Amino acid sequence: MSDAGTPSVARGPLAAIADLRARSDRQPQKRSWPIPGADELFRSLYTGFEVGSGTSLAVCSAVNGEGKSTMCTGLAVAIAQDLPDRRVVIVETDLWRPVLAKDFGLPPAPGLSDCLLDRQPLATTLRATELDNLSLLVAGSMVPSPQRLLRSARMADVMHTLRNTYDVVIVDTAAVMVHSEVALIARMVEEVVFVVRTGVTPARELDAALGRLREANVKGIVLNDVRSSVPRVLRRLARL
Amino acid sequence: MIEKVLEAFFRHAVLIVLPIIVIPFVVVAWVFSTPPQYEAQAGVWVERPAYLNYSGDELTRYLPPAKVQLDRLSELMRTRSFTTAVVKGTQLAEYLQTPGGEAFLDQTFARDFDLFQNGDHLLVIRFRSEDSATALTLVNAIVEQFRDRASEDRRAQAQLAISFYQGRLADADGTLTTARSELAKYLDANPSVAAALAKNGLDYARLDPGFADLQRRVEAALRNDDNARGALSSAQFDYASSVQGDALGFRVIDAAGVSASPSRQLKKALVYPLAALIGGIALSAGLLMLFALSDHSVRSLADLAPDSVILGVMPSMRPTSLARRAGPDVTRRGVGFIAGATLPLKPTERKAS
Repeated sequence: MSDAGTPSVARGPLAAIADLRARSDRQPQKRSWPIPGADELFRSLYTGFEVGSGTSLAVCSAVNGEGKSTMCTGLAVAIAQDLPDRRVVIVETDLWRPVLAKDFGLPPAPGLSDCLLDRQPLATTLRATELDNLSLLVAGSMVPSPQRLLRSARMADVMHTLRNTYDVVIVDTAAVMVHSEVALIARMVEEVVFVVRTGVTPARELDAALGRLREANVKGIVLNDVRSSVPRVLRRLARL
Repeated sequence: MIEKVLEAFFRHAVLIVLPIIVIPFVVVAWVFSTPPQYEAQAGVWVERPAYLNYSGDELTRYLPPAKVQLDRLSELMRTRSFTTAVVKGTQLAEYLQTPGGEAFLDQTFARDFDLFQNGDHLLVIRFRSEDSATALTLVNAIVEQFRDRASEDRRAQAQLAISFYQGRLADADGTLTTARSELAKYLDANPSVAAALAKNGLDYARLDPGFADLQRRVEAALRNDDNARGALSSAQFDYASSVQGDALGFRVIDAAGVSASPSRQLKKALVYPLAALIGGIALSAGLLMLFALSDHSVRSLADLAPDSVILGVMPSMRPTSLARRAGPDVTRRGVGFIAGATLPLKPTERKAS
């Protein structure tokens, strides 16, 4: 309950988050990036997008383990940090392999699946983070047929609500070649960022995955985890 | 392609380099774990057998005697009867009693016996064994058996040739006797021809067609008889010379001697490790190509379609200090740390919390 006596859920997701934050006994502490240079990398990445009010983008990849969740988190954190006046939310739609709740030390439910099943209103499923303007919508409870939930009209409603509520909606999807629902989700957002991890994504799978997203607005490709095992001297000599 | 091969090499460096190190190491260890051996060697001077008619044998006609004899001995060494005869009377004879022993002897001869020619006439016979007496006995036994076999073969073939030419001579003698008898009968039946022959000589008598024909038969039979006699004499001479000339046809120049101390074969000590090294390099190269060619993943911008829009290139962000105490999701947690993502704590931090 808020100070005005009105349930925060009834006042909307953001009010609910503000209440959660207020009730939290966690002391806000100044945290810094533990990976040197990572903030600048994500900053340069989101500079390429037009981050305005009502921006929604999905981060997709061809197969699992290409760094979609890392990319979503990094982009969201960088935008939330750099643009304090923008409200940012990460929506985890990979209901098969959820990671966000575990990463942030949160209970896995309630989350998106609970919201889609109408077990919980959207507002109560949103989680606050250490950054005031960044929220999380984790995958939620494990359900027997996540594909049906993601294809439902309720999913479109949730996305619509989030886009109206937040300035930036970043959707963490499942692998395109594993789950066909990703193509539907990609059409619910304005732009799609496609992550390709070097040494992991097969070139043939990449082509097939991009083919599946033909109807979505694929903004471009982010080549992730680029590294070379060849010593620098040798690379220079071989002009690689 | 070079980039892919280099990447594959440095990515799987340990696996690729391992065969080059391990295979020669194992081979060297094996070579030096086997005990050194004594080596017995004999040099034999060989000649081409005199009685054999080589004019019809186009393959061996131009081969040096040492090569011909080397081939013969090599083939003999692959026969059980010859090796059995060699082994009898040596320290290895006990192995003949058991079925497994024969297999052991076959392996021993295949492994420890060497035969090679050194020039056109010199044949070198070599045998290695951990026991010097065995090595020496076996070389002597091989030389003896080969000499006996060669002599037996020569005698048998020469006798065959003699009996053949004796048969031909007997036939020629018979033909000559018949021709002479027919000629005599003709002269008895034709006194005018006999008189002409006595009065005017052979040329006048040849004017008679019957006499001339019979006379030609006698002359032909006489030539055949002479030829057969000459061939028989030649065969008998060859036989006698080959039997008496054994020492010339198969002469042991260097009597079998054994090395003073056991040693390792040069082939084993040098060639095997070298071959192992080459094998290891070949295997490594094969592995490298396998890794490079089977990698169909995107590794650089060059692997993407030319019309692809590249939004950014993110380098590997694995934090090394965290990676040691965290799982594969450490990068993601590190990226979300500012927003509240949890990072694995050091033991001291965990205790404090």
